[in-house]
Amino acid sequence: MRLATLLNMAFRSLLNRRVTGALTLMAVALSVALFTGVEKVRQGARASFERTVSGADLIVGARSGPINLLLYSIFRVGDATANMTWRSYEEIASDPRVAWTIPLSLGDAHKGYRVVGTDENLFEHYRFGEDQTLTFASGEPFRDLFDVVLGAEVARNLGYRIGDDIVLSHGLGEVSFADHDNKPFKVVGILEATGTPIDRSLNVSLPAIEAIHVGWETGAKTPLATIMTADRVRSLDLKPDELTAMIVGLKSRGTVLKMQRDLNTYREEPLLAVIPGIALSQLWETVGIAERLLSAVSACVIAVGLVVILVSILTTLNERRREMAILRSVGAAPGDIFFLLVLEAAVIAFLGALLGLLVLYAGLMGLAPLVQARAGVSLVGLGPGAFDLVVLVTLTGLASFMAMFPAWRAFRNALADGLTVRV
Amino acid sequence: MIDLSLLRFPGFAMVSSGSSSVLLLEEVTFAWRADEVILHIPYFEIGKGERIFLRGPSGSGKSTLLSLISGVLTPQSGKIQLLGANMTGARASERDALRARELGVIFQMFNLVPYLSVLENVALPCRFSAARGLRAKQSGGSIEGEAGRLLARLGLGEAHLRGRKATDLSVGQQQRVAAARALIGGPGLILADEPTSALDTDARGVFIELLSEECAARGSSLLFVSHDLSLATHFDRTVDLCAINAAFSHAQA
Repeated sequence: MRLATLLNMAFRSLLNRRVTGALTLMAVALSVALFTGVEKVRQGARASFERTVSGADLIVGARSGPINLLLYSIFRVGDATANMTWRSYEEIASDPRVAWTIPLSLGDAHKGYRVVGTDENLFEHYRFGEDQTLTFASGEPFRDLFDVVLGAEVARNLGYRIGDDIVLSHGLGEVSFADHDNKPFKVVGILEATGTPIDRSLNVSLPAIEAIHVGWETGAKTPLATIMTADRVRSLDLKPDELTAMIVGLKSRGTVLKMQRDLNTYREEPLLAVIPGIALSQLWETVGIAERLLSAVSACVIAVGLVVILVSILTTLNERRREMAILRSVGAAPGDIFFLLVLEAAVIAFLGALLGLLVLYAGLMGLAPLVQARAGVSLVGLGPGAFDLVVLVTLTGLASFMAMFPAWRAFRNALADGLTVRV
Repeated sequence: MIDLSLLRFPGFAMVSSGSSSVLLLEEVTFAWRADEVILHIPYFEIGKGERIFLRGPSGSGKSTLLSLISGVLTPQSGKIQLLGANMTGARASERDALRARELGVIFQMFNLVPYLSVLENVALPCRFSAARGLRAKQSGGSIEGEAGRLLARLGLGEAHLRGRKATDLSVGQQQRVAAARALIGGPGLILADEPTSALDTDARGVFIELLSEECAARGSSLLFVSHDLSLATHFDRTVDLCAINAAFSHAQA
């Protein structure tokens, strides 16, 4: 009963100080939103990257840096500096230790989305998340030369359906200046959303990539490209000469290190094979300093929020001595007064943190599509979790702890003042 | 001076320490600093249902006496009994509990917790003492019911007043709310420290009459402190603090 009374009084006291109370609440809410937001996006980015490469044992491409290779081949961040030959691809694919391979040929785009030249292995062997395979929302894998399978986001954002014709563009710009306009593609399949960069890609066969580049060998459109219409190009040998990278799945994980070494010392051409998990951890190490700095800054903001609570209580102590004397006169012990102030801090911290989390999730919901489109980081899985509860409880606890300082002063005042206040 | 010597007579004290007394002070001394005793009361007693006017000019140790009676301060020596319970020997928490149960205090002004409603202010003592809450329930059905009944008795019956914030009321209204709070749950003793000094002359008489009536109705004793002797006629007995405070007379002499 006494706890309920004091809690009610703490609430009412805060309600009574509307302006300072609201400002304090806002400061706490913003600090919590920032801190939790930074943490969420960090975890979200990691989870999103990790779920993308869950099934791959090795990523192989032309020699560059491990992080670089991983970023451009899987996450579609940046561009390849060189390609690997088709001969190497075939040789690796036929290695007895290799279970499956997925070729990746990048370079073209459609309205800002990447076009990926690959083969049916993508649909059969690619694994993401918890060992999930790609599934079709509608349609089926590409069969014909000019078939295209769309990622979920591409189909959704551009409003494409099965049977639509689309024209691919040369290069990666969002606004295209050179279209492969005499070789339109037909949408034959649309994939379910995966939360990986696949959602944002248009998947075609490797020969298709060759076909649309007939007459583009110099890097620019020549008259040949115009002459070679979709029908005529079918008669050509469209076996690819090179590709950007490949994903390798091994029969046994135990052979991965040996396989990696073999590929890194490949005689025919300079190749680079990376183990996705290791390359990712290298990536996190690289960005780790920035991450930690960001975490430290947001932790400091939390500290500022706590100090604001402390100040908001300390500044009222003197003007509340009269109130404390009244409470003493009706039977409140000095301990009740101590507890009242601690409760007030706890209530501000709790409500502030709650408000901050609400603001954060509202913000995340609003920003998630933007972040997904711009940074390729899926924030979809960032629902409220145990971490939020920890933040809520810890902040309330810290605020209560810090409030013991003003509470102790009020306790001392209460003992000294008794029923009379000399102010 | 003559009164004083009588009060100091030991036999007098022995006789009067019966169970009918609501408040009993014996050889109570208090000093903020060891060399400066500001209060020395050889003997002071309030009987059950008694209404006493305590005349205390400023500097007579009035506030200190009220703090001692309410158990907020403890004397250096002597004995204070409230309804037979020994305040001086008790722990601080016991004194707080006793105050919550058996005392109603009305200050000169600013009696109310500003952020609580009128009704909540009146009910406040019942929140700190279950026994007092129980007595209020027995009298009025519920704590809120009893608070409302007391407010009505003191001329604050309008329903819209009860939910108002205490600070929205006039000074006179605030003092009556304070009286209701002191009276709720029928405490043994009501301490009123210059409760009428902020009121105009007409309101003073009305306030004191209302307070006296309600004290009588509940059997609560009343210790009314004021420097204004013209109010003394409303009470059973008048005591001069200067007369019972040996330390004061020494200082004046």
